[in-house]
Amino acid sequence: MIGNLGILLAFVSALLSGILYFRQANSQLPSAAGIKNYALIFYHLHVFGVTVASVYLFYAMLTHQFQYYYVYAHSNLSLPFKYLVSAFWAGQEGTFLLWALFVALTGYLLMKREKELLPAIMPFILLGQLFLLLFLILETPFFPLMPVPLDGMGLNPLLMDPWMVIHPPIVFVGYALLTVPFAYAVAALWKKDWDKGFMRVLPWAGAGWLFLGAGIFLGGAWAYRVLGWGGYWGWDPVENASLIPWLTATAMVHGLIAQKQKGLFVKSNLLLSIISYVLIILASFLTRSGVMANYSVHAFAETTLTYFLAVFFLGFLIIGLAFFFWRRKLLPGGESSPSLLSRRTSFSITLIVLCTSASLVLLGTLSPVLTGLFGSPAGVSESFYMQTNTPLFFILFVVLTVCPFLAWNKNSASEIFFSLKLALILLPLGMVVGYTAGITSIPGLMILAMFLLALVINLTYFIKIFKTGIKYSGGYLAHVGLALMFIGILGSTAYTESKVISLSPGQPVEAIGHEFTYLGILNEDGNSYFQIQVRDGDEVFIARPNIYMAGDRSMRSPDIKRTFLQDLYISPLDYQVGEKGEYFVLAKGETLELGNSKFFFQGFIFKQHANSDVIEVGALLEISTGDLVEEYLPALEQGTGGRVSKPVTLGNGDVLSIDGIDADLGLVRLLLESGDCSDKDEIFTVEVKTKPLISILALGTVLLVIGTGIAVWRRFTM
Amino acid sequence: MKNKWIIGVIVILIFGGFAFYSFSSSLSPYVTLDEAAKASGQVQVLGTIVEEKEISFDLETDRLEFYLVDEEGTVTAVSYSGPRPDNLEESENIVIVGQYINGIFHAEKLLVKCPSKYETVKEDNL
Repeated sequence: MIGNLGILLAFVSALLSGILYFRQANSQLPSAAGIKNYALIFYHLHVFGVTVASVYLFYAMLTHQFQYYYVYAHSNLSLPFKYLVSAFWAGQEGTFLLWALFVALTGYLLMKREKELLPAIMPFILLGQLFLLLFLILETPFFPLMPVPLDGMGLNPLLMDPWMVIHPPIVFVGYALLTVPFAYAVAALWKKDWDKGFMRVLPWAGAGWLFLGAGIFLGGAWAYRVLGWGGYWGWDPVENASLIPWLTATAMVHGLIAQKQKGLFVKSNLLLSIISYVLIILASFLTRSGVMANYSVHAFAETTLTYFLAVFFLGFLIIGLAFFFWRRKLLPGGESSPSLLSRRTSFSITLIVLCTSASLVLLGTLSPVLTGLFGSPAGVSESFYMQTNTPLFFILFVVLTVCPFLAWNKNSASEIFFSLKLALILLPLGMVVGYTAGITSIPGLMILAMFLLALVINLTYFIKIFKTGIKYSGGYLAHVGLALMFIGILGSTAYTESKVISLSPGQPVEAIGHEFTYLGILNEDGNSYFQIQVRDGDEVFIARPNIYMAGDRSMRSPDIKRTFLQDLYISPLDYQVGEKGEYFVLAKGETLELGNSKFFFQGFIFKQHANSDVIEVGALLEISTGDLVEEYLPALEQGTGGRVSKPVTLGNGDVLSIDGIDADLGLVRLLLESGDCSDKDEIFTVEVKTKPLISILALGTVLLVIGTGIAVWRRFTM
Repeated sequence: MKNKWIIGVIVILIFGGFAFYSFSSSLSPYVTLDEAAKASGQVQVLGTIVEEKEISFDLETDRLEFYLVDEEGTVTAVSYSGPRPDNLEESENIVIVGQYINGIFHAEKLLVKCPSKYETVKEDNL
């Protein structure tokens, strides 16, 4: 009850606040001090409503209020505390509430920093809230269940992982922050303030981009460490859906910086601010509406959400474009750049390349829907994304290498010399490291050299600027991180080696430059760890991939041995206990000697069950071991459902069963298996992979995030 | 000035052509098993795992083997090399990506749906 009331209050007050802010922005009169700002008061109520609903959902989750469908569906009594918290965003409704909460709080931060354009900005922020809250009214997390279940269904085991706990909130902070550039763009167009007012959006754009990027990296880390297929990016539609707005946001941030410094790219920045947020809505549409349900690993089934999200998407797209179109004649046009080799050109190329990449990824992602319109639907394979993006990112790297030298005003020679000195050390060093890690082909080494050059140059400028003030070094640090990321991506994507090997206990197998010996199973805390001894030259260590039960499903978890040069990735595929069994055929009246026993086949005994057409065929056997003579009747039941074998256990523990019969010829084929477990043949099959330079990739993402953080901090505090 | 435009257009045309070629050659259509048998390139088929038949791992080929039934009801044997997706058994339906070789569908990729995360199953509970 209280949760739903919170949502309703938030909705109504968002509507009223939005209308009042709109009127404030519309009126030419300056707001007089002393008149109560009702728009602000309603906004307080709005934040209060969302907060109440959120706090209550947390409370309901932590106190196991299974009368609410959402709590029932995503938690149970045995769920540990940290996952009870993260269960908040395990499902549709919770994530929308979290998103709305973050936007509401962002509004407060926005109010502290922006005064002039605020009344024009708030209506658009609140419009977004209206959509989110309307959804929450229609599909509430507080849907009551009758009768109240005693225990919940539990959390999806794949979500019970620290990476998956923080990934969604970080992404939603990014989404919330990227609402601000959209609102600023539309407000700036409305108020014709795209030079000074709109420029104040830069820190917000940077922060939103930072969080969205960090969220994407976290998702990749989870995929790599938990899912077991040895990769971090699958070009799956849901992954692409968050990548596309991130690419346009990257362009937006760079364009805004150029606008700040030289007043360039005004039109592009406005459009990019609008389109990035619209693409975020599209991302939500693609992942939740069921349109991609049959085409993606992650996409979820169709719900009533589809039409709703389509309206959300189209609404914001039309509003944004309408404002742009309205003011298009007033916007400053871009004059052509005076020379090809200027910083301005490098920015232009960056923007164009990033938007092209975004468009291509969007095209590939939507390919099933698009081809479906004209014929039978078809998806694109990964090769499309890799083939088309490779030349684009090649171009970006050329720009990344050259751009620092192209100052807006003048070049300085000292940096060039410093770069050369640094290059003399780092380039050979980097090439040796790369070669040792596995980059052995000539084209690969050439590409590595190019990445290293970009790294060296940006490192040069980072060091130089760091000395004058850490605040201004963020961009270069981020680019250093980017270069490292690409070196890591080159290594781990193009030079990975993998092999599937089957291991028997104690028998070493050589693969991909290592020696693997399966040692056996170690049971600990309800998990079964399959211990594998890995020998790499002189180094020996024990890897422990495991297979564990989550409810009634078996989940596989890889083990990763991280070193500087490469990761060794071991993914459990299958575990079988093969029986040592012997097959033999006996004719009626025949005796066979096996081991120290004699098997005499007397004949078949047929039984028909009274109530059905199930026939049971037994093979009557006399088995003599030394002086002991016993009769056994293994049987085969044949019915409409199939065949069921009914084995017998002999005196020594062995198991005898019928494998096949030929009644006409009087023959029976029997299987004799050892009942002794120690005789059983364990076979553990794993896929082992080397992933060169993953550690460099990880380091790169960390530096990229830190560098961006420094840059955003600078913009907020300037 | 004009040169820049000409260069730009040429670059766009070349890249556009390349992108188009890459797009069409990487398309793998969604088909039924019948169509897949006749197709030459890689295809994707949506279906459900046949529960009555076992999902087994063949030690000699190091491939996962199971049976799939598609929307038309056709059943086929599937052989998959690659890490086994965690929720294979209880996914509602899966997509196999690959092609037929000698009567068996060799799947390079398996796309398994995350069951029920964002589904409204509320109706069942009413």
